[in-house]
Amino acid sequence: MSSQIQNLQKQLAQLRQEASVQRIPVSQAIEEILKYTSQHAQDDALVVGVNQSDNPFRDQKNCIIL
Amino acid sequence: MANLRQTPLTCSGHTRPVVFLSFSDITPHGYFLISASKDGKPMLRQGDTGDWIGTFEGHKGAVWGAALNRDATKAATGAADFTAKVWDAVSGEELQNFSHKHIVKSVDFSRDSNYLLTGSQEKVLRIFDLNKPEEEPKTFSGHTASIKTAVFKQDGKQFISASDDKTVRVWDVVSGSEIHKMELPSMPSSLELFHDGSILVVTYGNFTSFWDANKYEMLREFEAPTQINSASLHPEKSMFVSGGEDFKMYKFDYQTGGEIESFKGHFGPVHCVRFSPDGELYASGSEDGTLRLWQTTVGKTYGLWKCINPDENMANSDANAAVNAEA
Repeated sequence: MSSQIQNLQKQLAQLRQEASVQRIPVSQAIEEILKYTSQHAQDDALVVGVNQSDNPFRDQKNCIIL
Repeated sequence: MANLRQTPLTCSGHTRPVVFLSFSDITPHGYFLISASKDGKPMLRQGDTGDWIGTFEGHKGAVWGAALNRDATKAATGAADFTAKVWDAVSGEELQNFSHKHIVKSVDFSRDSNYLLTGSQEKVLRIFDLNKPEEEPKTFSGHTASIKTAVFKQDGKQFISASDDKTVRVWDVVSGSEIHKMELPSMPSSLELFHDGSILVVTYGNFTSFWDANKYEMLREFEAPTQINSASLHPEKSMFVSGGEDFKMYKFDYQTGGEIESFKGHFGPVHCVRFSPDGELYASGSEDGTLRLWQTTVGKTYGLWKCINPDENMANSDANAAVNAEA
């Protein structure tokens, strides 16, 4: 019995949390995402690229074992 | 001049095919759109942006028909759980529930929002008085196969129904009898009554036909390259749009029937198309579970579509900034 009550209390707490989330319409959210991504595009290494000397994954020169 | 590429607004959220959609009239808050889907959760959206507003929860089966009353304060839905429900479109609460003896395929409000017309697979149409929900509904029998769609005529004293028995019938509410019957060569896939009540749009096979809604004579009939599931006439009667089994959206000239343009976009057959009340966009619902909103005049700034300095050289590329609206 008390586990049922506990479950319901958990559900209630979850619903309260979900109800208090701040929400905006999708079209507004997308505008903000677009604005953010275009403003920060130059900070994104995947877009702009990385200087080869800093790139830890660049092709290594061959090692010669003497 | 080359046509600008059309970027539709894609509204996702439904998890099963979208089978029907309907717009409200223009209200002080803009206009709204309701979509019916086999996932059992009809959704209310802002009509010009596609923004999700809410989902009506309660049906226990696929929702086949949905309607909004004129000022979008109430919504009605009909489902495979044998019920039609009326909802408060502002709060999302279920207001009334009407049990039927079979799957409810179509629902429509009367213009004054006092009555609800339902059509079901029981081959019977019913009108419920929403102010006296306990009262038995008026029933209308005669169709010999399942009802597909039913709509009130403007004055609410008559209504029109389309059925799998290949007929479209007109009924008188007060007398309860059938006034007229139009026989079609094949099963009608959709029915739309033009906003001023003068024209009836009926699709069957590859054809889109237009009838005088008072004399019940066929005015025009045009053939499309594919089986058409739904068509809608532009509020200014300049053009009509249709969609069907080949996944494409077609736009035709209403006078000549000539194809103006067609758009790919959906990943499944198109089940329903409707023009918005201001004619600036049209919405389509598809087997792929999405709704798409298409601009009537591509390149115009409206809703979320913005025209950014169209370069002479860039006439064919993204001259529009279009946004994907996802639920």
